[in-house]
Amino acid sequence: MIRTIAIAAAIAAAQAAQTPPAVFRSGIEVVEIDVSVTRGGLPVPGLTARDFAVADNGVAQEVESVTLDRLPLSVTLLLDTSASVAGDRLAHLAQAGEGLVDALRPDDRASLITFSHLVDLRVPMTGDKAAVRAALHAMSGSGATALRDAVELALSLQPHDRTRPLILIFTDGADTTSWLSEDAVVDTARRVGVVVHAVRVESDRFLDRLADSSGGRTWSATSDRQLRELFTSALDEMRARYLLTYTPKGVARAGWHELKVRLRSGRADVTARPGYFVGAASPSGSSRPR
Amino acid sequence: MAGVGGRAARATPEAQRAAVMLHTDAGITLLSASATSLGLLHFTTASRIVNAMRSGRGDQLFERRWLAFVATVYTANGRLGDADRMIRDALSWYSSEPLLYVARGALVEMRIAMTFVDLRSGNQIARRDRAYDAAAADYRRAIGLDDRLAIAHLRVGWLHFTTHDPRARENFDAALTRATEVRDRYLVQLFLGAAAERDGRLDEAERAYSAAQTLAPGCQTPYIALARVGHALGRAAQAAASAAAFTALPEKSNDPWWDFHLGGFDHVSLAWLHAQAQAP
Repeated sequence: MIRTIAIAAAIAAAQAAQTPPAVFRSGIEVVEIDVSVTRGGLPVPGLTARDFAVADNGVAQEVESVTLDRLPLSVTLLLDTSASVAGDRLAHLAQAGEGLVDALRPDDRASLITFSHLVDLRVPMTGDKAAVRAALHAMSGSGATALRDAVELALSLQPHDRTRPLILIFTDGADTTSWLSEDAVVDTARRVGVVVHAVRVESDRFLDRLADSSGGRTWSATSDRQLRELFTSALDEMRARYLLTYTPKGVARAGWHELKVRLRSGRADVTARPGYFVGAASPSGSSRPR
Repeated sequence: MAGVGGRAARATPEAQRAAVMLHTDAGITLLSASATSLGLLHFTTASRIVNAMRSGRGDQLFERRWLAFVATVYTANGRLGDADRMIRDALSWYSSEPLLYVARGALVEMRIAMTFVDLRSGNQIARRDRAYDAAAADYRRAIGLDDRLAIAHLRVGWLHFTTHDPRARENFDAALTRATEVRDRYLVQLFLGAAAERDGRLDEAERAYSAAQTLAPGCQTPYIALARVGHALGRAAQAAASAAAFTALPEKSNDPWWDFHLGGFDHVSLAWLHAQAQAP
């Protein structure tokens, strides 16, 4: 493909460890939800099962356990390496990724996926942080942007083990070449149940929807120097999350389960994914009405 | 290079075609490396040679196809003004060349894509829809001139699909029966998959995407589409397998979807032009 950097940029300008938070083991038995609880922007510590009220499709559930920061993390770095990132921004991006890798604990793991129009798994999920660092510094920027397709691939590659998965996205522009629609990828995110955090340079409706549907967050970078700090913030936010478990009672098994999570008393911002799917085929989210 | 046209006029047709393609290849390489001025200089030189060739006899198929091809290069590189001028000039010489209408339709589509449309503004939406109609009219004109042109059926079909026009399906079926190039057969399978998926016929979508994957096993899009269908069917393991299969590919290929989507850079025409330039 002759690359189309200019046109892609112009289109962009115009558009301005398991823990899937919800997981069924052996049938449908236990649901797990990653929950962020903050007050004044700071994590609220010391909460127990009795502090949380969970409704599954409107039916109150009994929270069985609450853990904080016990399981190791599996962090997927999903980084935009299209032409618009080339130069200083890419250097800052590599440093930010390195900062995140440095902040991982010994039993945490990381993988690196980069995307322009092509999505590239640079480093599969590994405990070998040196491999991730080396790959970060080998990145180069060129091409158009297939953000949605890259997210679909990252969601599909999430590990199924006893770690807490997190996808951390960085992009500085709008999608220009993806096959998949926003609705399709958001639907996948709801099904997979992985927390997705995003650091972006410009406002992006898709990233907002993606974060909302996964119980994640978005951060806006006002300068490239801020990237390192924001990447670390995203990791800290993940570590400060509670992991709630409950066994669903009084609700039908198949289909979409809407979740409501709140504190029984006290004021705080509670963020969790809006629900989870069991079994049935998608009711919505065709890949391609655009 | 002022004397290029004069010297070219005295060269043999074989030498003319070879010179055109040397400059064309250099122009493409330089444009894709963001050396825009140098790249355009090579296209200007090639254009002078083609102008000299136009005074020759015969069907001038090489000249017509080269002009349409370079218009797609300009469009794919955001040189929409250059593409517009080239198409207008070329149509004044070859008004019955269908690929020029395909190139013009793609140019119109890119103009739409690069224009912000406020979806709250009825006027802006109406203007956009009129532009879509103009692109569709160009594709239909191309089909009228050469009904066998699969890429024209594909482009009008995709336009209809994106605007929820029910004629998309018949356009795709027409493309399917006419497609001989791998690129066109691949794209039609992707588009049939998209149409089936939108209608909720996920098994049929899966078959179409798998067919696309078989045609172009190194291309990214079928793997992504199949992963998505796997999720939509509630088959996470299938989605994971498709994603893993893509990441395990030893070599990835240029995906025709990217070129189709970003202005229609025409690799099929490029290959044809090269073959003509090398022919005795």
